Amino acid sequence: MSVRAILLPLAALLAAVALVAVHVVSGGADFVPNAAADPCVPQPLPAPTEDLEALTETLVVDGVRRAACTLGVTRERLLLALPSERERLALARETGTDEPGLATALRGGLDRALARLDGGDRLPRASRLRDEYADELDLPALAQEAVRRIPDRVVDELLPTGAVLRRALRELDVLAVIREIDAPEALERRLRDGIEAAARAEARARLIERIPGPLRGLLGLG
Amino acid sequence: MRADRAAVAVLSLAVGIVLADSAIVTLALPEILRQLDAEVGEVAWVLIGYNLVLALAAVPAARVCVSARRAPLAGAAGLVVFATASAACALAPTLTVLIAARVAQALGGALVIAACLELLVLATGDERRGAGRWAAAGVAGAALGPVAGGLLTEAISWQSIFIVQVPLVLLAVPATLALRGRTDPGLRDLEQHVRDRPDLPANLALALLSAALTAALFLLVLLLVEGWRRSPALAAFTVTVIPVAAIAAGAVARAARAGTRAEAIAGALLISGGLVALGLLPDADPRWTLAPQALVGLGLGLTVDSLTAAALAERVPRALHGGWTIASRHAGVVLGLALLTPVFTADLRAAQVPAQEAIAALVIDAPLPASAKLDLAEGLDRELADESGRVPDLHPAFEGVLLAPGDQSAGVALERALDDQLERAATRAFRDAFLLAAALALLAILPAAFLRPRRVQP
Repeated sequence: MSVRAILLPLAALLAAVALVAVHVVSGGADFVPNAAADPCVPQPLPAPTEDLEALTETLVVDGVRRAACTLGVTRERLLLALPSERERLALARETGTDEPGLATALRGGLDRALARLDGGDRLPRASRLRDEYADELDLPALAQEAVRRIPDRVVDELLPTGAVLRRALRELDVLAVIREIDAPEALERRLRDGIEAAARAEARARLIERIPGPLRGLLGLG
Repeated sequence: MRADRAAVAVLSLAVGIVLADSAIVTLALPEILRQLDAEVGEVAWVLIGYNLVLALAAVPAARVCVSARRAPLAGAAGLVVFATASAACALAPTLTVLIAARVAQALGGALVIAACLELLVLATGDERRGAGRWAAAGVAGAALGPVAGGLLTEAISWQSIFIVQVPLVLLAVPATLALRGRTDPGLRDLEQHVRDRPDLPANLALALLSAALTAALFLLVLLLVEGWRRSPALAAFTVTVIPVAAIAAGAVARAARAGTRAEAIAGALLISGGLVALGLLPDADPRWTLAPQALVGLGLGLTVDSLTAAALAERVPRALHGGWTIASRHAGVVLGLALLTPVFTADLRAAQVPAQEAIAALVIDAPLPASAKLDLAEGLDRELADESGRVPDLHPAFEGVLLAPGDQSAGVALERALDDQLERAATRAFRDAFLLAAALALLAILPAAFLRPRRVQP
């Protein structure tokens, strides 16, 4: 075999190996979609904010992340599966549970996310939300003004945000919420009604707590 | 003599067109995919159908054309069938009709290819020169086909690819008929020879390398146009590197003078290296494909021409052995498409979930108001659902969301990040197919090692 007959394939081999090496060194093996983050890695607390939309988003996203950690899937996998019944059932099968099991995991995740925000003093006080909320209440002008004049301290004592939201979450039919994800109006109504009912129940419970025991008995309030 | 030169030109053109048709629609496939509402797996049959029939019909057609008396008539008939079928391709209203017309094109094409080998020898009056012209026209056609198809698709339409071919192919009919009655003493002698057996190593190496080369063109074009959403014109411009490098390979071969076997082994190594590099692209920038294509083009130039010459050398009847090389090459193309299409379509489907999750993560964590993200998620969901099985264009989802002036830069950054994720997913989806094609090219070294160590004549 002549030298030329060896040199040509050798040169070709060197050129091929060199090019592949350049591609690998430049990241050719890693040019793939970002891997989803581990949902069990704790996330830093968000900066304090008065923006309710941002706070709600933080609560939901963190709650979904914690639920995903419980279920052993990624946050994105859970979130993408929620709007479709078929995907929900597939995810439930994959995680060895059922639809109510998914709802339980979500409730647990949201509850823990809420506790964390409350513990970190990231939930806005009810008195801060009062003016915004009073505008939305269909009340006569005089009553609206009366609501605005309730001292902040009283509002915050009667309606501690964390306790109201925890009560709302406890009473919330999470499975129904999941099924209504594609019907935003019904979902919003359900959440609003749930929070209002929880706020009333929390205020009532706290008022009753402040009534002296004998009087409470006389009024038939336990 | 001037008439003979003209005949050589139009016959070479006809050979080039028939072999260009093997891959000419590659760049038009995305357009055909959309217009005829097909899926990638189905539309691949526009390529597979043609190459499969050409592979099956090449040897029988060559048997018809073995005689110098029959070659002109068979060639003319083949040219007319090919031209008529090309017109039918252009007018095809459905994918089924298009595939049927492509099959008819291949039947005509098989006759054209087989006849033109004899006719080019008659027109040049020299067996080696005629066969050399025939092989070179085939390499040029196969290398330039996708580029021509891409430019025509971008400039006019995919149908124009087939319309343009009709007059060009028919130009060869008078030249073919004019060669009737032309005799070559060599041919008459050859007809009486015992038929040689096909050169198995050369034909097997041709088949394996054709499979790998088809992958290079077919997959690269799909990656550029469908995966990275570049225009067919840009894709055509990008893949011109392969024919340019293939032409340059002639100079390399002449300078190296290493012989057929060394050229074939070197070519297979270059094609394989280029394909591995295409499977390991570090970015969705077409410039990263240039060096791998240069290697593939050099490999193409070093192998196909010399392997064809080796398969024809000192073997009779010439047309029959020409038929075997065509059958091997196109069987290789079919093998490549049949092996690789399911691999990359399955990978493309499998890439959807990671891509969706990556997109979801970016949207969730984007510094945008929650209401804007919800609107965006709705739009993205629509785009992803509409483009099931293909790489979606996410821009309409962003157009449908009204962002506050302060959020617009975050919106632009998010769109760029999502496009990057899609490009990463698409590029990753092609990796296994490119690597499998590289393995096919490496496999060609085995038969190439058994080639007779004949030095290629300058």
